[in-house]
Amino acid sequence: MLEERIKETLERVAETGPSEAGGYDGFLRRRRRAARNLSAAAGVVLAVVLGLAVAVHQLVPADRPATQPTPPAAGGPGTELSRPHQGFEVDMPDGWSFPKLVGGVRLPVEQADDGRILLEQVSPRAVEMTISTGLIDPRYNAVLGRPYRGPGPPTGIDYLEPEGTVSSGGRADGRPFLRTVQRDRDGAGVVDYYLSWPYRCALGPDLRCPAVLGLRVLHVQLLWTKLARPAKAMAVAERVVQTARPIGNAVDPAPVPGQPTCGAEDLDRLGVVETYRGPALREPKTGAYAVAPGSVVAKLRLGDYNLVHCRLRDRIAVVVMDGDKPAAVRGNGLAALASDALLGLVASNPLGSWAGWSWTNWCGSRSATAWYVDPDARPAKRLARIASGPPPCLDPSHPSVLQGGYTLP
Amino acid sequence: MTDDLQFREFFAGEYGRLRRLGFLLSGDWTQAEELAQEALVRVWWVWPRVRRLRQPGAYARRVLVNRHRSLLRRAVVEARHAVRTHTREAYQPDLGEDAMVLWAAIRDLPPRQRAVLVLRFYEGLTEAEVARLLRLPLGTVKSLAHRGLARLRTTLEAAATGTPRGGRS
Repeated sequence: MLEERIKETLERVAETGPSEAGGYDGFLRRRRRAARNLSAAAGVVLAVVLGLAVAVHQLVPADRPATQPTPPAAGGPGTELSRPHQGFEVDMPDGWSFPKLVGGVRLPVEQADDGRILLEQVSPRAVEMTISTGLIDPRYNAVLGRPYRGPGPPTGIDYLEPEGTVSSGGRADGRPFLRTVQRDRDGAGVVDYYLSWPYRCALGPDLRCPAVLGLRVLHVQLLWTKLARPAKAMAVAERVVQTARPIGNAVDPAPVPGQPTCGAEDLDRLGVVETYRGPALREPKTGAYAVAPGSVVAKLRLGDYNLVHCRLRDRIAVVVMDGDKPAAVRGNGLAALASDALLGLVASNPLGSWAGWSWTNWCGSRSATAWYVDPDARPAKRLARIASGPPPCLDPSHPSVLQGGYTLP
Repeated sequence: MTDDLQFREFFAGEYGRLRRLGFLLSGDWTQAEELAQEALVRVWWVWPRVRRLRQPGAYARRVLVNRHRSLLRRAVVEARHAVRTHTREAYQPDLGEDAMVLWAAIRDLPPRQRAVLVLRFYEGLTEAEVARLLRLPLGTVKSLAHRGLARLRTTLEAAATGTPRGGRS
């Protein structure tokens, strides 16, 4: 049996690693670093809290109580569960709560960091419901009344792929949905609802919202084990589908406050290039390679993996600073992102779209630094420092050069 | 027994296992050590709560898998667009020829397929448990396991008959 060979091989491979010596020291170093970061963050929070306290004290009139009515207990029945970055809001169903158990193991579960809502039926506990948004496989979107009309099916996305017995339905407001059911022989099963939930975005007067964002659906998944009878829970899931409300980026093209910019968390530092492989990072006008051995390369992912939890950034640049002034580098301050063609590229291939900058032949001060900047801010706003030092001096008689490029389809 | 002493015992019992799981998921011992240490730091922060659990080790594994899951996304892209600044030799365990072929094939699997197979067959989790751990729909986990096994079968058959495999994207 292949499965047994896999198990045996994995066990043998896992036993053949290098020594574990130094593991506890490494752990202690990490722990100290984490503690330092935490105390720094706590300091900032304390300062903000104190600042707010002072501000509120000054703003609230003396004859009016500073306290607000107490909101309903978090997670109680009827509580509004909002995910503006994902564009939906639902009410906590009666008889449901945030879970204490996952996978039969008693675990302190934090809610998913990707914005999903995970709920558990209070009694019996063997039923879970997950509510989130995602992009459905384009083949199914036509059924939802929004056939995909983009430039070829986008690749590299973790599409939701309906599996099981498929049926369709609609809400009172006309939004269509797909419903799939899978039942195991032991009585366990899963029901999935996919409700059309298009993303609204505003990229500027001349920029179209990528067609791929029309594939977004609200995904409600109900999962039960053999210990539960699903009929009552299925009615609850159906009610969640019928009553979920579009909010945030499902109704308003303006960026949701706090919504991260695609790629902003992924500013990448790569150091001096010795070898380069993979799709060409090319200079947009000439099509020439923007990466050469001896360059310092910084690159930035343009898209998000599902393009639904972030807003697209339309311009970003790199500037090399020598002290407080822009360094004498040809192409300094180069913006690599500015056109709808680039955003179309992101929409057609979010995983494979990169902007990159290559800085070569620096013969000046070793303390020169490169920064990502927002060129549209006045003055240009520094976003993040590129940690790599300057590239090596290859030829003092030639200028230092900064080139920008991006991956081409 | 003090919290600190208890945690050190927990560390001694779990570090190796977490590191091995990290290696099977990532294929890299250095990354495996980082994953294991990071997971244990996060456990340490909530140790007074976690130590009362029936299976604190399961909590640590969940933290490690979640951490790896978030690194996976970046790793997939890095693999496609790697601009390498240094070369790290792939670790070659001392195995027989058959097992080496199978391990190479497992390492070649897309990260999500490999994660599902490792959790299924090394950790011994059910498909439903893997689905919850990876926060994927059950159907997706089944499909990933099916596709992973099919790919391994194809690779092993090709190796047995000496047929070269098709090019990878």
